[in-house]
Order: sequence, then structure tokens, then C-alpha cells
Amino acid sequence: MFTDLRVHSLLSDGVDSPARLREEAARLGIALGLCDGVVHEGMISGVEVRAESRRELLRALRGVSRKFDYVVVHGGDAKINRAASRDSRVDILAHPYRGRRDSGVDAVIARQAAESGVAIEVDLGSIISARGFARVRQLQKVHRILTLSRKYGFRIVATSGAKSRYELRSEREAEAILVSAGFTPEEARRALEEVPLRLLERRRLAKQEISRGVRLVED
Amino acid sequence: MKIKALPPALRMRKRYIAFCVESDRAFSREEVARAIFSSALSMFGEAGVAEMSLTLLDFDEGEQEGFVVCSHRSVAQAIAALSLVSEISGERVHLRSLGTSGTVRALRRKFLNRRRHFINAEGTAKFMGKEFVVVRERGECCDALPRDDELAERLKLRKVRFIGLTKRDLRGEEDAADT
Repeated sequence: MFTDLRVHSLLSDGVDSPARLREEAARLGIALGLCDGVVHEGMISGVEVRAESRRELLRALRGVSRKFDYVVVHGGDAKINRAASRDSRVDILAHPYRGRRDSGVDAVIARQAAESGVAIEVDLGSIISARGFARVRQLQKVHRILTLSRKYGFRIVATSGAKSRYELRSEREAEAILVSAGFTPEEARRALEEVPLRLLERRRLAKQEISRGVRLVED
Repeated sequence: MKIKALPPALRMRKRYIAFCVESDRAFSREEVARAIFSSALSMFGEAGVAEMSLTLLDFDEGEQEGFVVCSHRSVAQAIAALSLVSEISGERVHLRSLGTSGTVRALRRKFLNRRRHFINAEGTAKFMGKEFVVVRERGECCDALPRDDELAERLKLRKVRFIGLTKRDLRGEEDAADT
């Protein structure tokens, strides 16, 4: 099942209540993570961290990974991309290409992300809403990220980045868009199904750690 | 016996894809057809669309659902073309593909004419300390207009008319815990 990890409800800057988004997701046959920065009872809840500088980012990351099911960093700025991709408290570096001419992922970031397990996000919403030259540029950036991922082995996660119920996509639709953007069907399915689940699982285990690398195991 | 125009092996192998329009208002067949074509053309180009042989065959303006036909090799591209339509006449839409089939008969039987519609509704409601005027509903879901300028701005930005709520939200059984 496609787990869409970057969806916003009314509680951040969306236009739908969490319960409504859950209804709509059920109709589409997908699972949702709401990254409002609010803990929703009974739903996968994440946080999207926005920071202007590296210092601000590090300060903002303190403590959030214990509170939420996953942590997203709002990417785009070169320094933020670098700092986020090496920090294992981060699960997703969202749209590292936002507001940039290049993909925002260079060899350093690619290597760091592969090592730290941070997934680089490909945001379907930015492909869907753009047209003409803007979409061409968007697709080029996605191509770059895909090429680097094949070489360095970091994970790619696909999300809708939805801020309204109409921006959600089913798994078949999301897969069709990714394949049109150059993914193989296997890569598309991994970015939609396997990677989100892995990220959530990893965060769940990390929460049980009492200190770095030491985890309490119940018997 | 009818004479076969083409030997079976050379006939085009077609796939029919059913879809429905999810939006705040109903659209005409014209509008939908133009949106699908311009989307396919923008993403795959003239040669691409020719190879796909994408055509809108039917669109029911009452049900707001219909189907396109394409060659059996380009089903994924056709679904992408439908899915990449983000707005029609300035309103946010989702052309949701419902399913694929090799015959129109099976398509109708399996996917079409089974949708529940929004019906007009009335009333005011409160959610998250804000007031709303309920406009329409479908099962548990209801769409509402906000009485709040900040939310109205946000709707305009998203090109959506209504705030999406559920009946449970209105009864106040929120499942959002803390803010």
C-alpha cells in the first residue's frame, strides 16, 4: 500500500480536517501520514521542520524525533540540505530542489543520505501543478535525483505534498506519474510502498533507544 | 457472416479506463475533454498522444464520470495524463481513475454508476473553535464554507471552494489530541 507521508490538514496549512483526509485516503486505498507538527490520535503523525540556518535546524531537531512518528525537513537551501542529509534524527529531506535551479542533491549529500538513512523526497504535487517549462525543470531535477540514487544508493520517497483532498493520488496514479518521470516500475513501487514503511519502522526502533545504539528489548 | 475488416492479430488492442471527476462543481464534457487532451499533450507531446491513441469516449455530466480508450501498451501513460490534470477553469480537480478493462461492457459493470454523490445540505457548525456553514454532504463527509478570513484566503490559494470536514468533526468528537 502507498503510504503518503507529506500531507497537510487544517491544523497546519491544508484545507481539510484530519478525519476528512482519512476518509478520502480510504477511498483511494492509500495510507496517510499527516505532517502538521501535531500528534493526531490514531493516525501517523509527523512534523515538518523549517529552518533558515544550520544552527536553527539543529535546535529545532532536538526532541522532535521522540515526539513524532517521523521527521521531515523542509529542504531547498543548500546548507539545510547538507545538514539534514547527514542527521539520523531526520527521516525525509523534502524537496531539496525547491526554489533552486539544480536538484539540490550533490555527491556529498547523496553519500551522506545513503549512510545516514535519510530519504530524499520526490514531491508529486510539484510535477502535477507545474506545466510547460516549469514542469520540464521539475522533471529534470527528479531525473538528477534518480541518477544519483542509482549510483549512491540513498532512498527516494515519493509523496503527494497534498494540502487539499484533491491533491491526493492513489497508488496506481502515483506510480504512473513516477514511471512517466523516468522511474522503473520497481523503483516507483519502492518509493511509494517500501521506503515509507521502512522509515516509520526505523523511527519506531530509534524511539526505543535508551542511548545511541542501545535499545530496550521486552521479553 | 460479417466480413472482418482486419485480421484479429492486426486489430488495435484497446484498453478502456474509467475515471470520475472529484471537484467542488460539475464540469461539462467539453471542459473535461479539453483538460485531458491538453494534459496528455503537455506531458507526452503530439507523437506520444498519437501513439497512445487516447480518446475520451464517454462522459456523463450528471454522474461526472466517463471513460477514455487507449492502446494496451499505454495504460500507465493514460492514467498519468488523467492524474496530471490539476485544475479545470481555475478550480482544483482530481480526475480519479477507477479501473481498466478490455471491453466497455466489463468497464460499465465493474466501475461505473456506483458513485455516491454530494447532496446539498444546510446548517452551521463549529470545528477547532471556528464557525462553518455546511453546504453539501456525502455519507460521512461534508463540505463547508468558513466564516473566517484566514481560511477563506487559504482556500483561494489552494483553488478549492470548500473546507473538507466530516460529520464526526461537527459533532465535536475530534481525534486531534493537542495542538
